[in-house]
Amino acid sequence: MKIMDSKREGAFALFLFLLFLASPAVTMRLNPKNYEGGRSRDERTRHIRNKSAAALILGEIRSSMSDIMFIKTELYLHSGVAYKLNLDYDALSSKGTVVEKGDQQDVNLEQLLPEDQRNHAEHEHDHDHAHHHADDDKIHFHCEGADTVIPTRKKDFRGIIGELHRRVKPWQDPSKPHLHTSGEELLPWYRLMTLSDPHNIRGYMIGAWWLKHFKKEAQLQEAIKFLDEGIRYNPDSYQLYLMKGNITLSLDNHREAKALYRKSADLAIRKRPPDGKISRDWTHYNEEDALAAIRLAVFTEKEYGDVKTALDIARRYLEIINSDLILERQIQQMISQDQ
Amino acid sequence: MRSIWLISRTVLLEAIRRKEIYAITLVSLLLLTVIFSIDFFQIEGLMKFYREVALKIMSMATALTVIVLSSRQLPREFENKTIYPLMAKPLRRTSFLSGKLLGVILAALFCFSLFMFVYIIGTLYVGGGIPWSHFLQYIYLQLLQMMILTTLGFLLSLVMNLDAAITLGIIFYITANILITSFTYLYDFVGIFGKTMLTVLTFIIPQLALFDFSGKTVHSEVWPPLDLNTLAILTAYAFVFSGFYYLLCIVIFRRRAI
Repeated sequence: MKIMDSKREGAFALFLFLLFLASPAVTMRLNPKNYEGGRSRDERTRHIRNKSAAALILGEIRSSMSDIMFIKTELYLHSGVAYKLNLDYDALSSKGTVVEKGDQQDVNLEQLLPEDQRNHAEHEHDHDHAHHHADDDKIHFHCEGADTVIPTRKKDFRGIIGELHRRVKPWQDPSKPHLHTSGEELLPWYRLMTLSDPHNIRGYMIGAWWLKHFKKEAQLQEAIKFLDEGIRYNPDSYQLYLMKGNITLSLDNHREAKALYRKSADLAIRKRPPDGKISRDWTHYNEEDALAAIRLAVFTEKEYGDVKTALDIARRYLEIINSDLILERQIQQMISQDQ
Repeated sequence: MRSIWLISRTVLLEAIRRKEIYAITLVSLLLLTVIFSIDFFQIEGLMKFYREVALKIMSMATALTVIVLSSRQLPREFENKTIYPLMAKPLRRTSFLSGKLLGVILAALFCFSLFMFVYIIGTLYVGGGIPWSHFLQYIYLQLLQMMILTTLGFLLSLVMNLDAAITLGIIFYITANILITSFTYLYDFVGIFGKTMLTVLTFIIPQLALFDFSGKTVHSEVWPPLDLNTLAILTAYAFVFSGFYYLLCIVIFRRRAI
């Protein structure tokens, strides 16, 4: 009996081993194939990760954990409904809010500026999507057409199992408007995400963006602390300085905001490709943030500093970025004011 | 009936007396305490995060306890030879197994009550509310899941050694969510044979993810509790698999020479 048992166990172990060896075959026909671990990565982050001793031991796990938490935040935003990943993460880190592929958000960084300056600082966004988010809404609807992870009845081969799956898990028909909830509940995940991978710049950006939403002194201060931590780990990230500038401006600390925008603009110019050409490493949102930093550096200098200095830096920036209608208009305005 | 109760009571008492259940509970409680004590940006009332983490820890810790406890029940009886005096008594093997099953489920309930106590205290401390109807449905579905895991643990421990049974049980529990998602995803990429295989596997493997009601419990302000019809179908689903594993256990147990 014992011999039979050990034979049977051996055969079972062999079967499991063969199954394990055959497992890569499962992925042969899968699409898309190009899995890219580490949503939080950019060139610099990869470089840092590869160099640090901790990264050698834990790097990939850390960044993966961080990415898992990022996905979690998407789940929370959709009240637990799992959609096949459709969020534009660059947009998220740029605007700190839900922007899905093909959707453009109308809340721009210049809304921080006084009313009279907003029209000058507008991004050249495509306002082609009808469904934007109201900043103060707790729950709102949004229509994108992304598929859910749990398929619809029509597409599901599982019959009763599929039906139960849809009933037990948070699920709604993807053709119906998506339910978006407030982002405050996401904040613990951003905190853990950045603890897990301190080079997750997007985590710092979006976390700070949601903290700003509270419009309370305590949370604004917390946002600044959070961003300071991000800057400590990512000293070259111009987006973090830009976000810190926005929050500092909300606290009416104009002088510091001005310095932060300048720092952000200088860093952005250093990173920006000479022609500002959009590529995999320099996205549309990188360019927008860089331009925002440059414009805000000029605007805040003009508004809260010295017009002559503002004119000087505007000219210098314009020389570097070649052309920018908003900046050119500002320069003309300052010249006419001066005259 | 009395014999079933006596055996289940012994299993429960043994589980309570042994240190494993407390070790798992203690580690989980420590984790929960750490989570509840983290201050996230001085914001009060961030309930979803706490709720999610608490429910996940509760579920994992109980599942681990159940897998270990159920897998150990039968091999230990054979190893210590305590099965022989038991079988010498006028006790049917089905009653013996039923007693063991009930005992493990009661131990799971004991485990849950420990966590529930901490969860309720923690929630009150954080200053949030408990969505009771969702929470009770969550516990009920978890118990159904534990019933499947218990019978599976018995079955695995009868066909392989203890370590392998525990390991496989844990792997099965952990990969439950991956399985259900990967089947639906893979379906579009395979041929007719693959599609048939996936359909068969979907129905012959118990889909434990169906008993995880944590998603709606976490976001309870948006989703209503399950209706009775769905609960009844899920109960039947759990009983079908548990019943099948239980029957297999009986068949194998009967064939064992005692």
